[in-house]
This record gives sequence, C-alpha cells and structure tokens, in this order.
Amino acid sequence: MSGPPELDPLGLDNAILRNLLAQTTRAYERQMTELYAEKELAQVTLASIGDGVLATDAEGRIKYLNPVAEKLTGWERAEALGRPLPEVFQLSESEQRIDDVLSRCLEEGRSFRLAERASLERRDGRRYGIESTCSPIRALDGRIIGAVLVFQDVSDKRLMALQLAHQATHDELTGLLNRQAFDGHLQRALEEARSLSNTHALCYLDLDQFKLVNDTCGHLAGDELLCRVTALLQDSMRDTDLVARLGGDEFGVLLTRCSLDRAERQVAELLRALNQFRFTWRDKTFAIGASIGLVPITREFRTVAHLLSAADHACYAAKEKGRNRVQVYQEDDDTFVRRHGEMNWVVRIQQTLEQDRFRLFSQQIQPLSPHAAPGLYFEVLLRMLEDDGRVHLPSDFIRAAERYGLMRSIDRWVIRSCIQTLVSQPPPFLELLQLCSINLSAVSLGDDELLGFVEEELDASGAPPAKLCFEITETTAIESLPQAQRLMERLAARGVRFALDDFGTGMSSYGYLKDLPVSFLKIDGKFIKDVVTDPLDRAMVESINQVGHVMGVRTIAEGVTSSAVVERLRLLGVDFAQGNWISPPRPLASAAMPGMPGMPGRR
Amino acid sequence: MRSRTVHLSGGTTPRDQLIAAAGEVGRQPDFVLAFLPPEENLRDVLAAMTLVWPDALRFGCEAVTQVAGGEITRQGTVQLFWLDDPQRHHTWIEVIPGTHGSPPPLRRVESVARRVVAADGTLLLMDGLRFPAERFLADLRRSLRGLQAPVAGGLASQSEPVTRAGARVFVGERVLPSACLVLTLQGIAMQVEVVRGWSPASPVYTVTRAEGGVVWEIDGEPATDWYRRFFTVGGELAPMPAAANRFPLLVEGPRPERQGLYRTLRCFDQPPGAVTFWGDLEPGDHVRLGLGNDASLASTAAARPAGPPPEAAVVCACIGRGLAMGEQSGAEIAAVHAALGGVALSGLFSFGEIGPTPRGDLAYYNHTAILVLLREVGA
Repeated sequence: MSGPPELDPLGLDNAILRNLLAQTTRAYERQMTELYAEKELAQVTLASIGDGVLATDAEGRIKYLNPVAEKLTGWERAEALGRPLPEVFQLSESEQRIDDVLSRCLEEGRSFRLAERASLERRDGRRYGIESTCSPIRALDGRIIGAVLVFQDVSDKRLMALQLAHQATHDELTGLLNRQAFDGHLQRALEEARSLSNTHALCYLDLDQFKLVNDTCGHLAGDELLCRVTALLQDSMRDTDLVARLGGDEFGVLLTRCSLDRAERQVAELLRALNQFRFTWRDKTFAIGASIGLVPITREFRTVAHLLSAADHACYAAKEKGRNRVQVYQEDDDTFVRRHGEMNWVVRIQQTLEQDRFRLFSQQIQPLSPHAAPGLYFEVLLRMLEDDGRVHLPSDFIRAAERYGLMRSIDRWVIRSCIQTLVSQPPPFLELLQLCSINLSAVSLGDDELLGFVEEELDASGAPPAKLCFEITETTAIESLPQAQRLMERLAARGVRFALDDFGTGMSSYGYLKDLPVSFLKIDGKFIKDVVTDPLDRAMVESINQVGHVMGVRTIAEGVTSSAVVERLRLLGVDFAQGNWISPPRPLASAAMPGMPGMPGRR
Repeated sequence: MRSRTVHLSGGTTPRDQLIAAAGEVGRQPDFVLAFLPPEENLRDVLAAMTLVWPDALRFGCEAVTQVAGGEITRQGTVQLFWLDDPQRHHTWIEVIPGTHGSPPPLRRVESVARRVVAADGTLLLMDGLRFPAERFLADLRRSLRGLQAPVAGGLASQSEPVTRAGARVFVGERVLPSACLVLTLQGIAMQVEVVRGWSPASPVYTVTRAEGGVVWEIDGEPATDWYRRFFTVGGELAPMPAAANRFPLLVEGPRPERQGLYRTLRCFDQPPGAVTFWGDLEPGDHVRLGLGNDASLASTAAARPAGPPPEAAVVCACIGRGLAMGEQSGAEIAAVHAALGGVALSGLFSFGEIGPTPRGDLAYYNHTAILVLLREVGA
C-alpha cells in the first residue's frame, strides 16, 4: 500500500502524532464530559439519598455533607466545611469517640461501624439513634485522602425494636409480663434459690368468677375485669414482686426475697382486697374471688415446669376445697398426689396421641325386634395402648383428659379414625352396616369448630352419614343445649343420627327430647341389670321405652347380662340390647365384624 | 568468565578469523554463541567452528542483522566464552524439535520448566517463523507455577520474503528448522533487562475481537478503521506496516501478566478488515499506541543496569525497533555497549523477544531490546 508520497518519515511521524493528539484530545474531552456527568450524578445521588453522608479530608476536616447530614447534625454545609469532624458530628450515650473511629479508619485504611447504641447529638441538643459506618477514601494510587461517614437515623427503628421486645414479653391486654417472660424470671429465681439460698415464693391465681362474667356480659366485660384485677394485683404487691398473666384468667406473682410466712400474709391480704372489690358492668355487679396456690421456691424444684406444676396443683386444690382461698403447696398431701397422678395421665395421653397408640374397639348392639333391618349395629369404644402393651379403659384417663382439655383432641381422633376404618373395610361391609355409634364428650359438643370438622371428614372420606350416630349424655346435652341443638340439627340434616346415652341417670326430662333430633335413647345399665326381678326398674324401662316410641325414638338397653334380661326386654318392646353378655368389645379394625355373615353372635 | 566477540567480516575466511580470536586465551572456549546471516555459507562457518573448536559447545541462530560489540553487522557475529571454573560450572543445551507448528508436548515443557528452575539462567533461541513461540512460552509460564527464574532470549530472523525456509537455530553443524534451543547455565548468573523506551501516546482502548496475532476489532470498531484514525495523513493511509513500526501497541492490562507487553504490526488489512501482529493480543486487553524516537530509545538503552558489572552480554533487539530507528539503530547498540563498560557483547535483531514482564512473568515481546548480562559466580 502506498502512503502520502510528499511526506518524508519525519513528516509522516509528525502527521501521525497530530492525529494521535487529536484523538487523545477528543477522548479527553469525551472523558471530561462523562466525568462531569458522573460527578453531577454522584452529587445528585448523594443529595437525594436518605442516608446522611459526610466526607472529610485526611486530616479529618469536613469537606462535604449532604442535606440529610445537614439535617441530622444541625449544621449547614457552608458552616461545617473545614471544621474538624468531632465538632459537627457529636456522639452521645456511647463509649466511642468519633475522633478515635476516624483516626483508626484513616490510619488502618479499613471501615469501622459505630457501636450499635450510638446516638448523634444535633447542634440544638436533640438526639438521634444512628447506625453509621466510617470508611476510608482512597486516591487512584491507593493513598488514603479522607474518610466518608454514612449514617442513618434509626430512632424509629430502635423504638420499634423496643416495642417489639416489649410485645414479645408482655400480655397485650393487661400489659403484664407474659408466660414466656415470667418463665425467665422464675428460672433466675430458681437459680438463686439453689446458689444463694435466697427465698422466693410463687403465687398462682385463678379468678373464680371470670367465666361467669364472660358468659353473662360478654368478652368486653371479661377483658375489663382482667384489667381491673391487674390493677388491683399491682397495687397489692410490693414493687419488687413480679406479676404476670399466665393464661385466660390465670395470673402468676413472683414474690422475690420473701419467706413463706410473709408470702402467706401478703397473699391473704391480696385475697381480701379481691373479695372487697366489686366488678360492675352495666346493671350487673359481681363479687370477685380467686383460688390461689402458693409455693415456696426452693432448691428441690428442678425446673420451672416443675415449679409451675406445683403452683397449679395448689391452685387446683384451693378450688377443690371450695374456691376463694389460698392453698400452700405440700408435696406429700393426698390432693397433690392425686393431682400429680392426673398430670401423669396428661403426659401419657399426649404421647398416645402423638404416637397414634389409641385403639378403636366395637361392641355389637343386637336388634330385639323381628322388624329391625338386618345388618351391623355397634358402638365404638376407645382403648389406650401403652407402649409396653398394657391396655387402659377410658375410665382410667377420661377424667384427666377432661380436666386438662384433651377431650377435644381425643374426640377428633376417634371420629377421624372411625370413619377411616369404616370406609376402608371391604365390601359388603358398608352395605351391611346399619349403625355405628360414636361417643361425643361435653367439650366437643360445645366446640364451634366440630361441625366443620365432622363435615370435612365425611366429605373427604365419602362415608355415608346415615350410618353414623353420635352418643351424647343426657346431662351434657342439657348443659350445652343451644350448642348441642345447633350441632345436632346441622348434622341431622345430613343424615347423621344421635343417641342420648345413660338415659335415666340424670334429669330424664322428656321435654328436651322435643327440642333435640334424637333417634335413640340408651337406657342406662343400672335399670337393666335387675329388670327381670325389680318391678321399679322394669317400670322405669317400660316408661322410657314407651315415651321414646311415642316420640319416634328407638330404645337401646345397655349392660345386658343374661338371656332372661334379653327376653324381658323383648317383651317390654325395647328395640335393641347391648352388653358384654351379648358380645364383648372387639377391635374395630378387624375386617370381620361381629354379626357379619359367618361370625358368631348371641341371639 | 572471559568472553570475546568476533565480528566476522568479508576480508578473510571465517576460519582464520576464528583462529585469531581464540589464540589469545590459549585454550578452546567452553561454549560459543553465534548469530549468523541466513546465507548459503552458513554451513561453511559452522564447519569452520567445528574445525577450530571441536570440543566447545557451539550453538546459535540465524539473524538478518547482528550485533558485534557496539556495532551492527550483517556478516555474522560469534561470541566465545571461557569459564574460570569449567570443572564446576557448565552449560547444557537441549533441543526441542519442531513439530510442524504444534507446540511441544506438555510433559516436555514441564521437564524444561524443572531444568529452568534448577538453573542460574536460561537462554532461549528459537525459529522465529515456524516454532510456536507464544504457545510454548505460555505453557512454560504455567509449568513454572509462579516461580520466577531468569529466562531470556529471542526469535531468529529471516530476510524477506519471510515465508521461505524458516529462521533456523543450530547446534554444532546441525541446522534445525522449526526448533528451539534451551541453554541452561550453571554457575553463571544471568540478569535480564528489558529495554523499552516507548511512551503511551493515545487514550486506552480495548481489544474486543482477536484471535492469536489477528485483531479484528478494537473498541467494537474494525481494527483497520481504528488504525486509519491515526495513520491517515492527507486523506491517504500511511505506508503500513512500516509507518506503525514507530508506534507499537502497548498492552496495559487489565490482566497483570499481560501488563507491559509490546506488539509490532506485521500485516495491515490481512486478513481483510483485520490487522496482524508479531504476537498475540487477547479480547479484553487494554491497549494504546506507543510513541518513541531515536533519542528516547537510545537514552533508555544507555541507562546503566543496576547490579554488579557483567562479564559478558547478549542483546536480542526487535527487528521492528531497528526499523523504527532506521539509521540510528547503531546509536542504540553503541549506547548499550557503552553503558556496559565495553564488555563483550553479541546479539541479533529478532522476530520477537523473550523476557520478564514488570511483574516477573515470562513474556513474549515485540519492540523491546532484551539485555542478557552474564557473570560467573563463585569461581
């Protein structure tokens, strides 16, 4: 390729150099433009961001501060420029000194965070909680030419954190410590009792009239009562004592450095104050009482749970002794031993539920009338299987389950397991099934969510509702009449039937039968046992049977013990009979059910 | 160590000149380094050296232009080395044969690396056209695993057209095309100086498309257009690649091992739209055009190297540098010779130089002069 012929090498080089210069100048101008734009962008960005930004030179004198920094320090830029950093950026409530932080940053060439609790004191004395980082600024060659302090106003954040911490440890309604926070204080009290032999006491208080107020006047009244009692508790206790709300109407008081004698006097005083107090809600006035358990905190208590359990026992004992009194915990007291036994059952019931060790059994119900539809009739029974193979009857654990709120879980387990077992049996089981009767506790009857649960289980399993029957005791039904009525009507509408269990042992008020969609009356076994020989029992059975039939309700005699009884019941017109003599309970899971074709059954 | 440079001239036969040069010491040299013109009488000179110094290790390479003392010659130069302690100190040469353009097997390179690390210095001379110098050096650099050992050398050169027989190396009377000689020194300290003398003269640009020595795009623009920006004078493109000889491309990173490399333009618009260099460029390399002149190159060369004075020296100067300086090339060589105190000096104008980057990595250069300073130690 030929070049410009008129140029000698030197001239050519010079021409190329001019090109280089022109290109360099152009590039320089472009870079300057870009640099200016970047600088402008940086300035605008710094001015716009929500953080305070403050830059110093290598001597720690302020070279720049953005509007947020101006606002938080109270210094205008024109005044602040050139001043030493500590003059403008003053920390308070901190052991750190800003000049130390700056010096280290400049000397060591690395970033430093200010202490978490640091606060900035504005020029006018106002303080801000801040979070801040001090970082070195380096030149292109790596030299440190200053530092930049970036800081945020975290006053709101800290306040919110404090509020959250308070919420996490306090009861929202009363403002008292909550159970979790109280546990922490109890733990420390236990440790002090062990290591320092300090004497503390724990008081566990359960309001006697809370349920009454709540039920008759509504939740608002209940809440108001709790707040008033809280105030009363706080007024009655020493400043050093800690009051907590442990549950619905349960309060705990930690009496610190307090002998048992003194604690007893103080708690008795508290009870007096409570008794003198009258709670008025609209036109109603209530006297307030409390059952109080008192426990001296000693080294014998191994854990907080142990301590609280003892206080709960004492409180329960106070209730059993007639409520509105103080009961001091004594480990060897019979009441506590029995209560302790119940507590053991609670743990075992929970473990049985968790480990799926409950088992369903069934007991045949035999039709006595030749007109009864042929097929399977039985009642489902519950058994607890221990991990060592022992089997417990409901009478062993139901009392504890009722007292400690476990019946709801047990009932649901029974309903779900029973339905699943029924639908998983091979044909023609469901076709043959005429009645599967399941016991329902009082708690479940008052459980607003049970209806939805049963409906979901029926829908999910496809079990025929008409084959199911829920047994409720006469007493239970009458005690929770509105809920029982609502539940029974809803389920009856789907075809589910109901039986009144143990009929005759309670009020035996036939009037209620008109209000409840009952299909069966189960006549209590105590009338059946001697029905052959005792005219009174016979009359009772006859009466129940007649009234039942008049109302379209069929009767089932429980506790049948002999063929003579069966024959007598048949003569009286009772529809069904049930008892160990007819058929002892068998596992429900077994596909071969009593009464199925090929299975033996007494007739 | 004693050393003497023989400037072959056309006046007498090579044999007579060689006998005369060796006679003063009274014994055969221990090793002989020759840079000889790629002419038909190359084998005659090698035969003469065999006749005169049958026991000496004789090796070297072809070069169009050579250095003899402070002068530039085209008739060949031979440098003789006598060791003070030949019983303990010695040199060892290994020939890596040509493989038709493919790099030597990695195992062979690793073996070379082990010897390089164990030696006091290593001189590499290789075919400047047919031996894959850059690939070999890259493999050697990797095999050295960051160990820094003095390694220097140059690529043999050939006269136009450069596509013919190659630019060969020789050992004894064997002339080897496509080969590399590895001379390792034991008991002889080697100091390597990279003489630059170029100043950055343009803004920094980025190579955006390149493969080996072929650059297709710089800053997203066809490489030929990019060059035209600088080399269009009066509406016409300056003669290329000659005009670019005085404006090599300087690599300024960003990878540290590529910092400080120089590249000479070899072909313009070949392949069409691309420019080809005597050395690779990689996408991402930051480059700018360099600027130098006779004075800057000569003054750089005249700087006295640090350290103890050498007992012998070898220079591998880029042929492009010679082209850039034109008639002033001699001034640079004279300045080097003077700076070294008139020590025995030989060398060549090469198709590429081998020396360390400022960080110490082994690198392939253009447009530099690699100065190899030798001194026997502990004799």
